[in-house]
Amino acid sequence: MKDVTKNACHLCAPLGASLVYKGIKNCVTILHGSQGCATYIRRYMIGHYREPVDIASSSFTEHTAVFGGQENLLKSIENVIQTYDPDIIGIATTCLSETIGDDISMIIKEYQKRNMERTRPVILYTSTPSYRGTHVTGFFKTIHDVVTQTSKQAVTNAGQINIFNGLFSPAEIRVIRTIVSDFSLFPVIFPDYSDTLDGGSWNQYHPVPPGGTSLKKLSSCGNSAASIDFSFCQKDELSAGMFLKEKFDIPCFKNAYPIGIELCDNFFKTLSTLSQKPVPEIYTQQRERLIDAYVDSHKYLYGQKAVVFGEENLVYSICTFLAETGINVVCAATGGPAGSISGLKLNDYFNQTSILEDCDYEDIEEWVIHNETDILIGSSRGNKIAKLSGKPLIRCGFPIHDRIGASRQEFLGYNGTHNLFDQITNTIIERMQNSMPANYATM
Amino acid sequence: MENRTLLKEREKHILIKESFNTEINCDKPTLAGSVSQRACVFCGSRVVLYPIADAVHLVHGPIGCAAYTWDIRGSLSSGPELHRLSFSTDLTENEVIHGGEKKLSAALDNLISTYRPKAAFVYSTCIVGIIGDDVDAICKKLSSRYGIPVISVDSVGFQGTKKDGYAAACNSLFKLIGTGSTANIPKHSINIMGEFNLAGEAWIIKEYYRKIGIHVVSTMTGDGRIEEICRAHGASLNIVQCSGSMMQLARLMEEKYGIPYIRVSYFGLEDVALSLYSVADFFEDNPVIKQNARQLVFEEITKQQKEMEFYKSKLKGKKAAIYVGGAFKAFSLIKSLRSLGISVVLAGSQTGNAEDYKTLRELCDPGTIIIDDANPAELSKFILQKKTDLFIGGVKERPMAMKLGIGFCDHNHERQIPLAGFEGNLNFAKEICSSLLSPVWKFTKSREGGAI
Repeated sequence: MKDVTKNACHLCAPLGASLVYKGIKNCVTILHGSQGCATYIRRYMIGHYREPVDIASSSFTEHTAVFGGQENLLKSIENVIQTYDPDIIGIATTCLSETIGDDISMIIKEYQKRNMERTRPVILYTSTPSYRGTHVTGFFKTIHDVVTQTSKQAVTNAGQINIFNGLFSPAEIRVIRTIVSDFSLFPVIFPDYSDTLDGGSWNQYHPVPPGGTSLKKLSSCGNSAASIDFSFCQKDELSAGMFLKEKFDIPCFKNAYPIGIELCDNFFKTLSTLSQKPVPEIYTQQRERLIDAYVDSHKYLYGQKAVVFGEENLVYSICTFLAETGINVVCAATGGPAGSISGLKLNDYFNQTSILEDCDYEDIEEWVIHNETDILIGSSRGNKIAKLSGKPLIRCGFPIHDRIGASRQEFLGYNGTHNLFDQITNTIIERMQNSMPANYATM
Repeated sequence: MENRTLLKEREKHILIKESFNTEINCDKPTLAGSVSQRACVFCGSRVVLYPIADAVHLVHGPIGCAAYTWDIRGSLSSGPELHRLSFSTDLTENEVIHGGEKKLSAALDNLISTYRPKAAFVYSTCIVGIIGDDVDAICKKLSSRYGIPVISVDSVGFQGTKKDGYAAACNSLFKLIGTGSTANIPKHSINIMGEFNLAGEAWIIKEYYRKIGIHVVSTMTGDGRIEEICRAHGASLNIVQCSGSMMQLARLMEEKYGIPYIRVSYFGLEDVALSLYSVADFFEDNPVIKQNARQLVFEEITKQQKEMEFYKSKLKGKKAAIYVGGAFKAFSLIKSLRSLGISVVLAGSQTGNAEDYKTLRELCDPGTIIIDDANPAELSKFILQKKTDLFIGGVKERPMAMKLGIGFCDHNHERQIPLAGFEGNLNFAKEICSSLLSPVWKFTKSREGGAI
């Protein structure tokens, strides 16, 4: 345990919860705590997605902290209903409300008692004190908690499968939907903020932007034939798919984010097994093109030293992918807990990968200063290290606060991998070109 | 949509100029569930002290508060950049149960011995207010161990509003003031307060004062240095820009050290000129200062006249909405926009007080909507209703305006372009033009574009 965290490589759990709630149709988030939590998280998400993000707060005062948050939370629910008229209110706790010991399920019962005649909104909640876990665990826990509160089982629907997303970009969620649908499967995709956090222009204000997984879809999770759950680096207790497996005996496939040939193959094979259909030609062609690109670029990439940092699942998948290309992952770093990327197996040529878990950006900076590196891959928070070391930074993951287009970043699937691959390769080529005395016209 | 209405309890926070005889409801805790644009007490303290570049700023609490405030202000430093680092005790469950004092002490040991700062600020967050760590005692202990000021900032998130955070920051600064030597401070000297050196604005302002013959003892807190703050009591006058955050400190200094203060603003030609003149008037014993100020204002205005005429010709008749943190900035913005031919149809602030809103009412045109501690539902409703062309606000308001096809100018603390001073005035006009004159709006839905 460190004495002090310097430039944290993780955020707090309520941010993860807020992101998941943005992926539910007509849902408004209430963070039960101080006004600042909601405002900071809004600001942080707006900086990345560049879309309106409304998050309500129960706005604790000293009185609330002393006498408990029940009245403030009930008042927030009323005010959110009046302003937003949502189908769902998603409540997430904060360190403050957890520490004073507010019992949210009791408060929700009190709400229901006072409003017997109301059929909507449905109130969901999750416990996300910021002293426990990170935004990543908060994200997966909220998926898990929403599914435990909404899923019912009736009749198994053979063609329906659950896709429990990781921290994907809106564009990536759209890609996953297309892929799964191309296998003639009917996916319940959750969370789905592909529209709510990446929409078009409006002629009227949408207090709750259109899009998201509907409550009806969520409750049908229990009828699905299987779940694919991308909480790969997380413990099973944070997996919605594992919950459904235990409760309704629905098979669960915990997949890593599909980046690179091997991890994409795993995902496509799972879909092929579930649909009992071969991988559609469009994807086998994408796969061939990706392999062709690996071959075309192998000489530029072999032995290039990459440092990868960010949330554990993304780091795991990107490192696995990079190892396929001959790039030497010299350092894999995550703010996720100890053990979260310990399963990482890289290729045999380079066995000097440093694994930094539960680390902060200061650790990564130290590492980069004292070791040889060619390229950095991670969130825009690595910009300080990039500037200091003079190494290029490929921005991916969350947050990306200093570039446009974070919502459109698409690195999943064969084509998505190809996007990332070309970006990395061209960055490396550009560096080589610039470092050569002759300004070569061909590289 | 028809089931959605604005909140009844918020009605008294909104005024429309025709009905100005009623008082606005302001200076109150935020209504729960109203989606306020405000942050918390911690935020108030953090933003005010943040630009002090040779101190370490340690956030005592779980990780969120430190992570969300890492390097978020565009406050520049001419030397050390400790302020751009984010330090947190990153309290976990175990410490919440057993107390965070040991970790806090270890964190300070680590930071002070690693970075050798001139001081350390320790910000208390919500959790600390509950678990009751004795932060003051630890700060005292560490202060005597290292021989530097280690200051406990009482910024527990829920204990008030952002304004109380400003007050806590002022109290912290006040502890430093008076501890340094005032030797060699000339008579015609000032402290610049409530100026945070966003995009180098403090440097612009300081250069004006240098030119007219006034010595700046300290800037609080832009490009701030502990040593300068410690000797701030040697100045003859305090000039307060961001009055919402710094008035309390100015009053405390007047009380204890007898230093008078004046409120100024560096946004818009009129206010920049007025500010320089009022400072010059204070030092009337040296008439050269006033002459210099006149000369400076004349030169600077002449320099940009032609270009400004061009912008004015493009901007005339446009309508703007303003939503800012402190109301004092809104006053300048209204005047500055008016000089560009732009009328203000909505003006609001997160933390204005009764006196601020009184001034705002006097400044605004008939029909203007004045709003306190607004939320997105209210802002979006009124900017559409008023057919606004331009919104001036911060990051949280940006996507709302842009979604609705409304031009935007970021006047908050993340900007990279100086908007203060004479050159800032030019930048402001240029930035507004670059948003309003952009051809992209014709495709947006609210401008009847969009469909194929």
